[in-house]
Amino acid sequence: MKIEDLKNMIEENLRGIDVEITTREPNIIDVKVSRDKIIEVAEKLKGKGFDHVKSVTAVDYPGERFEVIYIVSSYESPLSYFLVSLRTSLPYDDPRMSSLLSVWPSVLYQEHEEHDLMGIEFEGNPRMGERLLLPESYEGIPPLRKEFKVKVEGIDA
Amino acid sequence: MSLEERTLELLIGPQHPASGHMRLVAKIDGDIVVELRPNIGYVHRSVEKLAEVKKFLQIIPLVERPSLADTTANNLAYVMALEKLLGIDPPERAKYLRTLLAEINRIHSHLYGLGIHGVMIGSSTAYMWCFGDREPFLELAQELTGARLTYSYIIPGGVRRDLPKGFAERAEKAIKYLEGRMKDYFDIYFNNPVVKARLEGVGVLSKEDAIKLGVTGPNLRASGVAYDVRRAEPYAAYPHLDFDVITEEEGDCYARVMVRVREIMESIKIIRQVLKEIPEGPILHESYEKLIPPKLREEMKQRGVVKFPSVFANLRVPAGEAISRVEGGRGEVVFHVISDGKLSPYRMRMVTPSFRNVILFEHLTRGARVADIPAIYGSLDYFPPEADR
Repeated sequence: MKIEDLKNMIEENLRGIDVEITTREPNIIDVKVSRDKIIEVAEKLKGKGFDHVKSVTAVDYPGERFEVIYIVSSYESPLSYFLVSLRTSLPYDDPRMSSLLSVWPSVLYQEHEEHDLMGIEFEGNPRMGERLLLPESYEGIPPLRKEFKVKVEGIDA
Repeated sequence: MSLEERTLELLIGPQHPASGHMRLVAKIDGDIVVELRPNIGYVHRSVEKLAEVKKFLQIIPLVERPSLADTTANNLAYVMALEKLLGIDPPERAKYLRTLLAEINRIHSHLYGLGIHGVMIGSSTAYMWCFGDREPFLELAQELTGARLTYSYIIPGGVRRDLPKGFAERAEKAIKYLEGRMKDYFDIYFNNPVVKARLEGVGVLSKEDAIKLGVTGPNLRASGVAYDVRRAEPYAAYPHLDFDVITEEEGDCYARVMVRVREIMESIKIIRQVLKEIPEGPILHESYEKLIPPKLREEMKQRGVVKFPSVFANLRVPAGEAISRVEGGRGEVVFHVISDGKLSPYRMRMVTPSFRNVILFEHLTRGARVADIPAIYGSLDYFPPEADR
């Protein structure tokens, strides 16, 4: 299967939804969508055989936006060669979106981690409000945000 | 009595319930697990945050540390992401050497997992044997890279050292030894009725659930899913090599053990091919090699040890985004690197197999006996620092 064929298939599949689809050679397809349509897109991708999520990456662009990227693929050939990066932007003062847990149960811990360390709210993920990697008592800026500065320790500090 | 009144909370860990710190919080009714939640983060090193303040080359040792038994996978996956951004394809010989180390590492990582599992279900013999028999492979890795575990062998554009003289003979000796030992392992351990009773039919993961939960590595393949990154998106020298993707159908603890055992045999097959077919040639990409002063370059070729070109100290990686994946011993390692063209990544996401598999603790223990928790835990080859990162 060629990446262009897959792109056409996905475009066909997502017709009617406002998405922006681009490709990166040799095997990555970027699908950009607004946060209120992401579940719909996720369901359609799953229907086409994209059966699991490999990574949920949240990126902080301070004062501007957060970007949340789901790297989605399949365990079955030929789709297993391709990666779909399903991405959405969240406003900086309101970093919340629907959890994709109902579509892909494999996001349970990944969304939880981005909630814990980046402070993103995934509505519908039952682990929201709980800590995952940080101590229960942690309060303050989510450490993966850019405004959290790594303290220098040791003789030069 | 309500369920709430009947159940008891049982805390297992966090001080080393097996291999590295983590805590299991189990709700039990009698000796049946009603619900279990892994409580992780005790060995969190904030690798992703530190990567944003370290230079690109300094991140190599950083990403290796969380997965001490399986450092090659992280080293390779990270460097592959950089190479995608740099637009560099390493020379063929370097690709074979990467594959060689990856497979040596897979063997000793699997032996590590099998040994820890052994001691968790009460077989100290399995533990001693597996750990003892890792040694010849650690020695091989050390001879190739200079280190026993944290190799930092794979660098952008190639590898740090060439194959030492006589390596193939010594590798063959280690391989023959392990092949001979496998019979003993089956006699004493894998075919032992006690071991089988503890592992067969325990912690069964169905194929559907394995896919749904996004499980990876031997844990996935033991449930009948033939997914292996080495075949799905071939890298290094794997496109040229003949090996099977090992699967089992049962999805129980025993199947997960068997996948690892059979994969050791496949790794042996790969190592033999690599040592037979490895092409001659440079081990570092020419665009880096030519930056090294001629005299040093000559010395480097004679000794088979790479001198780092000065650009490495302040390596700038072009702005962009790269995703790489590698099949490590425990499963798929995914790196997602976003660069803004500066000296450190803007964002680096590192997803390890243990983090993908942590979900299995809650899934596989539901309804299991308390006594089966260690059997299930060990069968996952879960490594807390690798999950926490």
